[in-house]
Amino acid sequence: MPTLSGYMEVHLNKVQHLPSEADLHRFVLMVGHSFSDRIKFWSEVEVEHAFVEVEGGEETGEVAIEQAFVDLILHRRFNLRTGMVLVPVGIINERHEPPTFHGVERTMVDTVIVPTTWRDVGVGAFGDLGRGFSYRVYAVPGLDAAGFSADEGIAGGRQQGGRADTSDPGVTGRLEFRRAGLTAGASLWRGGAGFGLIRLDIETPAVAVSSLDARYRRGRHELRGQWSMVNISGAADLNRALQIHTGLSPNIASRLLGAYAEAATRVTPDSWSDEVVVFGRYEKFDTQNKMPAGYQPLQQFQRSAWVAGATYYPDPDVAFKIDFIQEHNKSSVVNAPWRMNVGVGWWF
Amino acid sequence: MKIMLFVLAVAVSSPQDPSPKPQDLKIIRVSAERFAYTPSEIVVDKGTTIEFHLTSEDTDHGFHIIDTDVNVRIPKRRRGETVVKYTADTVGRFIIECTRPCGAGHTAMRATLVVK
Repeated sequence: MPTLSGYMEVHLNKVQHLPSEADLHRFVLMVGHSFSDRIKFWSEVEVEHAFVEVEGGEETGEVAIEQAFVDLILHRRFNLRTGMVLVPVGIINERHEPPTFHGVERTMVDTVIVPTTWRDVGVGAFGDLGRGFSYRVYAVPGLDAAGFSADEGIAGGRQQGGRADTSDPGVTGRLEFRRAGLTAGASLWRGGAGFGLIRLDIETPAVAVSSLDARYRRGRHELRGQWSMVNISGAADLNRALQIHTGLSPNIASRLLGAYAEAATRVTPDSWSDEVVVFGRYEKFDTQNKMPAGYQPLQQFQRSAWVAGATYYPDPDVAFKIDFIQEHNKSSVVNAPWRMNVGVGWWF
Repeated sequence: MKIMLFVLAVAVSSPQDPSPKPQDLKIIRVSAERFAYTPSEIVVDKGTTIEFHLTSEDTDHGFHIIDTDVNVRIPKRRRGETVVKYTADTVGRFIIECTRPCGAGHTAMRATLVVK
């Protein structure tokens, strides 16, 4: 018997100097099915921003398959998975149901450093190694470096499982440890990114994404943090080649660096079933952290932010959220805006 | 006559009694959270009666020991606990799986019960 579940999130976003926007940001349905105790299917279909329309060459929304895979359960330590899989990097990419994180929008680190939701067609293995350790490892198609940018890093290079070119593949994996309120993980994505540049006669760029994260909960308090780094080899050649091709240098960095630390505490009494959690977060998200020789960083993309907010849970699966974000950057010309977000997300 | 009564009393309290002795009852607390159980491996001796105390750190989850009658729902965070007993009378490795869709990693949310 197939199962149906999903999540939705509706946001009201206000950015300094811009009109506020009301947005059905995500409408996601998940369908699963067990063919047997050992063969499972899981899928996730998402509509972003309510509808899809092309305006001035830009799509206003997105309809996407974010997961569609089959698991073959063989052994506690070794099982197989193939299909559209989530890249197992960081906290949010695999665990992005709205009630599971604080803040109306996902962290900036999980937007411009680790480009969530990051997925692709792949094949790999997962299992429980015992003593609290588990792992996932997949082979996936590579990235398309022609889509990289100065402000959003590698996000535009994701192939996302649609006729993905496999000539320059990658491998990704995560080792996770859990014990008594603590979850810690180390993640890696490493692979080629040059299939879209074959005609540009440059050395094929390669990408390595490394990430460490941890969450710790004790009683009413929770701490979480993540450190993520992206290294792009051959970034100078890549910039020159794309400049010849498009007329503009994309100013792609050879290293992107992001990190955040967040503290949250439930302020409602233990006797209440409703919960109010307040949180504070500091983020650093620098997509121009290290430039290739001959290139200067665009300082407006060397960013950080303070975030403060609250989440109200009338039910553990329903989260009303509010947050205020003060961004900073190193530019003396481009001011970083403040933002205020209000939203509700739910899981069923 | 006294000797006969003593023999009868010993026979009535013989180890043939199938109900578990207090020392064979083991309380095991399992916490569920997307997408894992903690602990993820539970090891007991054959004949042990396990009293599982099941709680969740987020949404509701399932707790199904495959090939047994144990198949219960774990309530959402701070909505109480589910207590279920199971007598481990067969040696082997039993897979415990989540039967309530809980998100992106639902199909891999498993634990193992090892009966020695």
